[in-house]
Amino acid sequence: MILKIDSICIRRNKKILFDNLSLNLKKSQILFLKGSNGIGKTSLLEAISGLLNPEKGEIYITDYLSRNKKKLDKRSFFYLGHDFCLKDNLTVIENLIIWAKLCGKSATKRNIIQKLKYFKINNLINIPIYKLSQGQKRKVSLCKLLFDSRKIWILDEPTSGLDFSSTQNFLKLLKSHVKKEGSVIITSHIDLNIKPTHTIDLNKQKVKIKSQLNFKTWNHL
Amino acid sequence: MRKFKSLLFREFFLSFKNTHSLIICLLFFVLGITIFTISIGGASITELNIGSSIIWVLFIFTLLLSVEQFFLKDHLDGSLKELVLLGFSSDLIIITKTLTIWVFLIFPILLFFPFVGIVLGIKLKEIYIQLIAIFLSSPSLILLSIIGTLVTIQSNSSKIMLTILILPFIIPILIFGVGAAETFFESTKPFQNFFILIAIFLITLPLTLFVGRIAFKELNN
Repeated sequence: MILKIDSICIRRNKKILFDNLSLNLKKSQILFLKGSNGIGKTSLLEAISGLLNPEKGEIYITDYLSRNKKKLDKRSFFYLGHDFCLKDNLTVIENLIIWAKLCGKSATKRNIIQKLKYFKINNLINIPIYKLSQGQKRKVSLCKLLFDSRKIWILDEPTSGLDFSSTQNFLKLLKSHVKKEGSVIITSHIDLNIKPTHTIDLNKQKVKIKSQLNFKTWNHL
Repeated sequence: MRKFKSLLFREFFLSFKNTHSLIICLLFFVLGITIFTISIGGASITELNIGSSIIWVLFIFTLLLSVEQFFLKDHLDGSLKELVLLGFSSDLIIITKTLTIWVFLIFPILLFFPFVGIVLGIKLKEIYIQLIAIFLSSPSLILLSIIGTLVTIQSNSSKIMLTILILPFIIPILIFGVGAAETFFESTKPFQNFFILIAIFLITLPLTLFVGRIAFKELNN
């Protein structure tokens, strides 16, 4: 499966954010988007996930064999945006049960507690979201990744608000997803200490591509 | 069908957890009627036969002020975007929200209606007709309020703007709804107003779904 971005142009608030951007993202590859605030990182992620229509060009999925263009289906991606998408008056477990139901997954209480242990927040299951800190809320929303089996993850600033050990746990999760032939498109303001296969520097409007992901650089995790 | 069930479960669960704000809406309805009764005087209301009109006005204002809460929180915490990304169409979201609003807001008002009607000196047989009229007009009123809510959320406008935007479209429903009892007892076509209210619903439904699609697209942009 290849995600193809073909000569897209994205305009937001009457301003062209970028023009003629092309890229192929294959399995086990990571695309890292960098750039200053307001440069268009989130807009690009939203365009890839199908929330925003590019003014020109197209984004589609093809497979290696047939090379047939497949219409972009929002359900092919897991999109984790700036917002936590959590209901303040519900507890952690209630939020995750509802989310799992919406995704068509059956999540038992035990199963959810098991997943929450990954980010060491299993003691928070019965706490309402409004009582949690920003970092804890981020961990709850990141826990959704543990339930997800979709191949492409689109993550917008996933580590904002996370402490060092949680960031390391998140990077381990990222590594295991990539090893399972998953692809990741990620933005971050901090250096995540990963070596992505593709980097788009939106400040310089420059695309840097390395052919293969070097797992050796991740051996510290 | 699975999608509809899971979304309905979510909406019902959220509304069930948010009953305090729905109780406030019902209190607004009851207090509004009490204020009318005190200011005009119980005897004058019976003499002028304006009990039904008072209930209709309060019913419409309660609805207009309450519908926003079913969308605004979802928009602010990113859940609306998440639902779209999980593959839920705007049509399905609007229909599910309409059902939820009906169950958690209109149904309690319908339960209150006979008691309030008796307090305002409305005859029992007229109460039955008004109940049917409210039952038939409520889906159209909810859908119109949803249009207004989606437009005001998108343009960051206030609830006053919502009221101004929607009221002209509500007037026909108000005319045929309030006049339902009179038509039923005095006209040669007793069910005429009921059929008109059903016809209005059949026009409002596709219109709301169409506007909803545009509004959802704009909300995501």
